Amino acid sequence: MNVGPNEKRREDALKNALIQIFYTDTIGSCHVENAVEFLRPIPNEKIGQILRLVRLISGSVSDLLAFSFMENCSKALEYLDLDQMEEWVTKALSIYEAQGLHPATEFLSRPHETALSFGNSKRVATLEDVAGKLSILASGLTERTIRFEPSNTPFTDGETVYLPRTFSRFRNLEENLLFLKISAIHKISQIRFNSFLAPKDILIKLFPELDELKSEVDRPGIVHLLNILSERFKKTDILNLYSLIETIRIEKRLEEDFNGLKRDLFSFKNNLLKSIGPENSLMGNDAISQIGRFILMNYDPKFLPKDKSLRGYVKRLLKRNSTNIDSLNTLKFLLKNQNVINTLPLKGPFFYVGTINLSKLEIKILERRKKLEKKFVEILGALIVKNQCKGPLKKELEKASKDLKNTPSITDDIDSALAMVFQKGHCKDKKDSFLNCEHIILHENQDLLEKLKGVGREIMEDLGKIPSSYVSSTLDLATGYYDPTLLLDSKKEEAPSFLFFSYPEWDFRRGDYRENWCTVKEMHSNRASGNFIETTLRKYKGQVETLRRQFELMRQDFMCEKRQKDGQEIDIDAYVEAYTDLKARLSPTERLYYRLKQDRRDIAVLFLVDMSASTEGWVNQAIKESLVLLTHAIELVGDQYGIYGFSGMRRTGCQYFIIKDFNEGLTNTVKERIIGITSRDYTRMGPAIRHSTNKLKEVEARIKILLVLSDGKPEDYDEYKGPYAIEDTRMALFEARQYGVKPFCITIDKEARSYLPRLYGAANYIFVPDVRLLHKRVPEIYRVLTT
Amino acid sequence: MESDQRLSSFFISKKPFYLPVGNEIELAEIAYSHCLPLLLKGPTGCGKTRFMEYMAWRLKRPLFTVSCHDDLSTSDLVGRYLIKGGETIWMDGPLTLAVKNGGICYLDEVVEARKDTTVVIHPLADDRRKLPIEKLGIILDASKEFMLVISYNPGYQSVLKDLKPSTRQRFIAIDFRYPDEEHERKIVEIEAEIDHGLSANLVKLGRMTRRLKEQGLQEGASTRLLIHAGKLIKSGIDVNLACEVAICQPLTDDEELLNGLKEMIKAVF
Ligand SMILES: Nc1ncnc2c1ncn2[C@@H]1O[C@H](COP(=O)(O)OP(=O)(O)O)[C@@H](O)[C@H]1O
Ligand SMILES: [Mg+2]
Repeated sequence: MNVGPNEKRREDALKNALIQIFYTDTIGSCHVENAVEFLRPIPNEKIGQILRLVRLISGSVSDLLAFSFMENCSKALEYLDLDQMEEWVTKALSIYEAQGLHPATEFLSRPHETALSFGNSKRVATLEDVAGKLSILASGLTERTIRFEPSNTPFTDGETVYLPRTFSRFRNLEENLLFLKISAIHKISQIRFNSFLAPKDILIKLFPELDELKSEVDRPGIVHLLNILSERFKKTDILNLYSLIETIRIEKRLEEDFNGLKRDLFSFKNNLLKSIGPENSLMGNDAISQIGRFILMNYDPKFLPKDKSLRGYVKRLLKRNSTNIDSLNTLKFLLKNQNVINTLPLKGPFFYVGTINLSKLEIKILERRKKLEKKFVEILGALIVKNQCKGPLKKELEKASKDLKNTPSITDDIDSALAMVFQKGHCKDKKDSFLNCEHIILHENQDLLEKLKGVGREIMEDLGKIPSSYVSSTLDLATGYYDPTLLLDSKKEEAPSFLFFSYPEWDFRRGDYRENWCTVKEMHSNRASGNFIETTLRKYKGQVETLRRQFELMRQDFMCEKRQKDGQEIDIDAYVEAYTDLKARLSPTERLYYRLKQDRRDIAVLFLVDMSASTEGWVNQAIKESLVLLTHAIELVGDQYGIYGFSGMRRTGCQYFIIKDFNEGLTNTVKERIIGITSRDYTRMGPAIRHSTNKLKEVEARIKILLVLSDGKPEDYDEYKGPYAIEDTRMALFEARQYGVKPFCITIDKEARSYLPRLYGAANYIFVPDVRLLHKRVPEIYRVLTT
Repeated sequence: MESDQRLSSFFISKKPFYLPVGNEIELAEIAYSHCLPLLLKGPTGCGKTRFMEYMAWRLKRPLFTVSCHDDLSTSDLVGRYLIKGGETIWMDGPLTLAVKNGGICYLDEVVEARKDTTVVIHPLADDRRKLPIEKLGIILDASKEFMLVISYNPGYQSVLKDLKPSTRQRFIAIDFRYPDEEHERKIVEIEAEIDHGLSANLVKLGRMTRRLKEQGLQEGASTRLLIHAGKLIKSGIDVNLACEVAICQPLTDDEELLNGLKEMIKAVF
């Protein structure tokens, strides 16, 4: 390593000091070299104090712990001043006393977490500080749910924004918080303004010389392109260059649309300018420096690149209608003029721009592509099924499906794709159609159509077209599709202690039930012990307290019953009416009183918990936590409730688990069954719902609610999937309503599925994308539903 | 004479400002010409009431609006006897007035009313178009001009309050949602009498708040709330404060959501 004479002297001094401290046979000289390396970043004015602490640790307890301290002390200094550092060390020593070397080392090895409670954390901005607010802002900006996760360098994979867990490079907290915010906004804008998606055709046109681009047609366009370019131009940091160019485009767009963010960007750039030292010369005349300068100077026209052609490209980026293609064009220009490219001297101040992680992006883009295809097929399928009531349409569809398969042509846009499907039979808002419809004309189709268009637009951003296969596979699904021949289960499970029930299933293709199609086996759920309940109640202490207040209020609801035959007070309205009736020679009513009575809530709720394999892990844990909090709260109100779980495999193997029967109290056995809830097999929802309805039928209550907690779609091992499963579930819910049961579904999933409104009815479900919020959401939903 | 005067107050003489967003005017006119009752579905504050005022003006019919609540009784709709100077006189309720005078009866937020109250509208809603008045012992026939309109908010999640299918199925439904960005900007601009830029920002904010369903915000800011904020700002109140009190606070009490909403305000203004 290249070290100046001063450095050398300092190093020798350090070495000497360390040898004095550790002068024993156990410490070899290579360890000392390591230690010098650890201490190199410590500024001179602090090194004395640090060495004192090293001596303290090694002298009083352990050399190994002292090494661990040295290894981490430069990091810890980011959070602590020297006084606080001493406290931090004292804490480590006491951990050593109490628990031994390993926990103490562990404590010291996480300065970013353990040091925070010691203090000058006042300056340190943490991701937790900002993530909550920013994720809400991010939803507003992108119409998606965006998560935040820690990482050393900022980047995004298109769904999650990765940011440093803590940041403290600026002088005060405010500036550090602003850094995290601006960096987050930059990532969010890459998503909002589409930095990473472009149809391949366009890119091939833009870079016709790159033959590789034409191969591997399915790789996401921009990711593939950037990969190829990085290979070709090894000396240039293509990814950073592209990010930098995109920065102009996306920040400019942000500034135009959001005054507040514009101000934030302005003060952020000021902070940056203040913080970069003279060695970070902004004076370069190469293209990158010119671009960097323009960004740092907050797009002051005075700092537009001097180079005339470059200026043209940059000006194009400033236009409102610029796209990522303009950025790629600029990139292409810069790469052609190799001479304007050196390295990137500006990495320091542009830390906030972060990096691009091509492999993570690619994974997410491909995942998203699949999801969008599925969504598209689902919505289109739902639309078709809805419009299927008339027989001839089905024939039309089958024909359209065949035609589509025979023409390799690509459907160019959504409208024409839709036109193919809906040419016939679609009820338009034409005047005379009103007269044909005897019933209400609900515009639910409109809703679905709009969603379909939205999904279509997202697909186009990536692929530039809707592949015809998307449409034809929908048609398959909606018409002939799955072979209904079933693998018949030969062996029937028999166990005397189980109860068996048999239920029909709705086959929407035939428009009829399959009688006695499913067998439901009812049994008690497994028990498990442990302190899960206590831990959960402790973990959410604050929430438990709030719930107690809210739920006690519910119990004390008073209701004023008007127009009663007897009661505490005279009902003035009724009295006046009776009096006037009398005068008008009508026979007056006798119901002249009102009664204040404690509202007998008279509610029975059945919780139906999805115990399918897909709930394994976090979801299962969250469901259990929610049940603990909820049961705790309901006990205060005194509503009747039962908890049941379901899973199983195949129509003859539906399982229904009793966790808490309606007539059971919240006993220890019940608690153990809650703890014992585990994930099992598949999700055949129909039979479980039908069985629950039967259970509710036997309960006496004015209001009966069936609350389903599940993590997504009904699906079994056999043909029970897609529209078949959805339509059967829908029918089961419909049957429940016929018996006066109000179904409501809580769906835990990362993304709202388009079939949910069809399945549950728009107002009868809620969708919780973040399982970490489930424990909050469930009791809240219960409260809203029953008041 | 007196009743004439009373009646005339239900006509809307000045053209209300209503900016059509889709084909809702056309649909309502078709329903009217075919004597079909109308159901306006949509979130609160998206222009349903204003639309009916406009339609009443356009069709030149008196408008009788009833805001429904769970204490609403059949007498409140149909009418009752009152005592005046020792005598009883019959006083028509809004529904009866509308039927007698060929007007429009608009039952706002109909799910709020108890079911036994709303049964009186059933014979009016189907092709009988009759209103029985028990106390008078008569049955009124509605004229061709009479129109029944009800509104409700489908986003409402209390399962205890839902429209009975047998009621729903008699109606022609118009789906109201918040106007698209362009229209909403214009509406807020005109209604709050503010400049284009400010209204554009308010609408931008409003639309951002409507994307938080997954974060736990059932309903985002309505057009009405945006107009309120606009008016406050126009009267000289600081933008941030105005948005906070007129938009954020009415939407939620949740601390985390409030912080997020404030972050949105800070970003937009
Ligand atoms: N299309 C529109 N044209 C004009 N004003 C509108 C329109 N939509 C909404 N508004 C404004 O929004 C406000 C709230 O609408 P309102 O009709 O009271 O809502 P709702 O009855 O749906 O709850 C109205 O006072 C009006 O100022
Ligand atoms: Mg209204």
